Amino acid sequence: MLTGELVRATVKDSKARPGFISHHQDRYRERAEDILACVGASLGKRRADIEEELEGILGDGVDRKLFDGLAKLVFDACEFAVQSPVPPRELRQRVWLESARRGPLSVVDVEGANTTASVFAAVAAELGVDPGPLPDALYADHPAEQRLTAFEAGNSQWLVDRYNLALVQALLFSAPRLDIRLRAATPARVRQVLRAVKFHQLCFTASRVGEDLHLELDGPASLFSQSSRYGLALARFLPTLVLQPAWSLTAVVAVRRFKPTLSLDQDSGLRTDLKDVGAYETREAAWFAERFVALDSGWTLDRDPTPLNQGGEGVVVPDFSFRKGGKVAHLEILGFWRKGTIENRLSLLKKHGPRNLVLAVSRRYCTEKAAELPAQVVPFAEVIPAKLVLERVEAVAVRSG
Amino acid sequence: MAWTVRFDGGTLVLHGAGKDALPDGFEWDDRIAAARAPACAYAALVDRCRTDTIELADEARAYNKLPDLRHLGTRTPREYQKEAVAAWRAARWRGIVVLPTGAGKSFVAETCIALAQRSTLVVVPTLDLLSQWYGNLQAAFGVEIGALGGGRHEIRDITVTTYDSAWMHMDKYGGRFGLVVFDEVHHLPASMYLRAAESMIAPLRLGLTATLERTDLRHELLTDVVGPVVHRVEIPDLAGDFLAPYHVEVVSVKLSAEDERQYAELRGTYRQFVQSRGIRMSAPDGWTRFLIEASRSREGRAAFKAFLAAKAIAHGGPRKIAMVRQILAEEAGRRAIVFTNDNATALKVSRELLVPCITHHTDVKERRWILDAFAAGDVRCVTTSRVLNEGVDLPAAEVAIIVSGTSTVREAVQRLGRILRPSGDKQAVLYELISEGTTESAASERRREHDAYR
Repeated sequence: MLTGELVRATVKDSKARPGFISHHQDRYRERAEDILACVGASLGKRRADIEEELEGILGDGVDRKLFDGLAKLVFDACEFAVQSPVPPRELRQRVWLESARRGPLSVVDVEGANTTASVFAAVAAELGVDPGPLPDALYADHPAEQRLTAFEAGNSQWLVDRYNLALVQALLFSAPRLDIRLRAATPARVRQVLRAVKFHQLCFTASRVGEDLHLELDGPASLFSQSSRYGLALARFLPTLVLQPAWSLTAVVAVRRFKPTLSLDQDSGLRTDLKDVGAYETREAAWFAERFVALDSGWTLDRDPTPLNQGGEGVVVPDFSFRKGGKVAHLEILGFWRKGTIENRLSLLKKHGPRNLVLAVSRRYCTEKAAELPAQVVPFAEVIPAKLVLERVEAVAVRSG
Repeated sequence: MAWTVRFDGGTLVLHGAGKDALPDGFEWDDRIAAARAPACAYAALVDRCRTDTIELADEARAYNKLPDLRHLGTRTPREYQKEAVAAWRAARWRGIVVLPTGAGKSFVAETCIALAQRSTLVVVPTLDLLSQWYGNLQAAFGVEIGALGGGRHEIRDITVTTYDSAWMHMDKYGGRFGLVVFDEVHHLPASMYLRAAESMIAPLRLGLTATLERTDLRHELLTDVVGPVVHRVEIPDLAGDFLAPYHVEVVSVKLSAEDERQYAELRGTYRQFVQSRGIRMSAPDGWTRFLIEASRSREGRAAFKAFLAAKAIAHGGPRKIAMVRQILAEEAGRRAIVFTNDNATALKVSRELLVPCITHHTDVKERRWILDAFAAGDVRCVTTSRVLNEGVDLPAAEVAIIVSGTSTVREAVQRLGRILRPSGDKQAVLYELISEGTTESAASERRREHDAYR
């Protein structure tokens, strides 16, 4: 992550423009390569020495802040460890005790006086080691003295991508909330986004704007004061958004003393190395749609994945919504989910509704207690029984507001 | 109609209450179609339900009653300690007690914890204090104590944490404690830390401090989240009774000729830049403006570097280290603490004089070792940057040396508190090393205007 003083952004007409860089800009790509090469060739060196060596590459010019940012991200991908002939802590304790035993150091270094050298000599004799490296080893465990043991960074393209993403993340630190839009998102994609929302302990408000699903993200306490309290969580959420096929975001951020708006979308060039998991579309949904339409029931079927709230404790993203004459019902398919999730879902459904939700649950998870299942639940083996769903839909559908 | 309340990320979510008759502190949250309040509204909610005989299903409260909790100590509280505890209790278990350093704040807290018999969180500013409270509480109650911070993450019925960790974790554990004790409560008004206090349901709250007043007046915010000042004992009330006399010696240190030349040159670079940009450093936003201007150009960056380098010379030049060496030789046999302004100087003292050093890099275990060795007399001197300033027990320290300080009055008082502690019949000495002809001389003048130096 980039810290506040490394952020580069300009403000024009109340709009924030992050100082993105491109891999095609030679001087940035070359500098990124230089930094990676310098640190990559420094295995075993002290952190302070690597930083000093980098000084020459980072220079003192107008791009210093940018290069400092690249270096920070490279250091974030490094591991440092202690290397010393004697464990530094043990060495310190011996030296301090020996020094205290001998009393204060002499004010003047004369022959036979109590000096640091005589303390180290005594400790070295005790340990049976050479006293030469001991003064340096004394604090070998301090961050600046630790040595580079692993370097996990990628190539210059990786660094440029990471830098651009980190710039946006750093701007989001100051954002009180984040407004996002997902275009024509599948229920699985919306669930993927909402899982990340929940994981980062954020709250959302959902609404439908034409083809788009609009989500406002903030945190529980945002109700009382709009602060940057959840900025870090919003920043950590960002990579999941970047994975989406069609998205946009807006947020009011702080740039120096200004409060400009940051607007970005899938064409802004952001990339993440976060793994894209959990957005898989199951076959059951397609098979079901086919069969349901064939029933010609008069209910229209649509795939509006607007999340349904369950008292702030849970969320349902319907796979299908059914509409007829002002009435509406929803279907959620629980196929490959874990049993725990299903039990949790049933208890939330009992507590908070929604009453007009039908759940199609894989029979693998509900054989034992089939009799105890609420009427809203339709068990299925391979194919979801469309007729049964229709019956339930007609039973639970409510007038939409 | 029954209400249901649960804890959610530092807030309370209330189901069942009507939209237009919400209890104090609650607001309607459209996102979840339920009422929500900061977690600290818990006490008022429970009161309200009791008064109006509303049935409340309480899923928020995750703290325990501890009916078997007893203070194992045999010490009789001093009169002013008894008064403090009684006043806190009379204020419905909420409020702040102001006691000078060394007057037994922790004993007051332990007495309050024993009275409350509820799961308790003690919040402290530093890792030193964390390990100290940890030891004290274990001895006082003979139970396992939890710790959150400094690499440890164990929640128990009595847990100690730092303000930083509290800020990070109270969204999770804010329902877990019935009593919260804020040590050095004047730290709490920083807006981040206030949020930690708001994120806890703890109906019982105690704040402790020696120096409540802040120059920014934010201490007034404490009344809402901790309670009013319920008891106050000032330094003059105690002096002569429990606190040892001390005296201050200001030692003027001349810069070496080379340092003097460099210092003048660096200050020149810095001053010229500040003047050329029209920045008045005495203005309230002077420092911020300097930082902004400094980051914008090559000259600015050079000026900033010069500023830091000049400061480093004034704070920890070789002549100063030599002076520390000399004082330690003169005071041989007495226990000394050397305070520095920054880690670099503390490390320099440690490397050159071979005495233990505590900075924020020092982990809890090594701090413990150093403080124990110091208490046992196995080491005679400890050097530290600011981290040790507040309330850490170093009972036998008789000499303090301030190598460098840009401290505010508050810090100076806290530092004095350290050697104010009774120890034998010897008078404590505070040495303050001032680089002649630098900005330090002025800061030292300002500091001596405070009560505690008189």
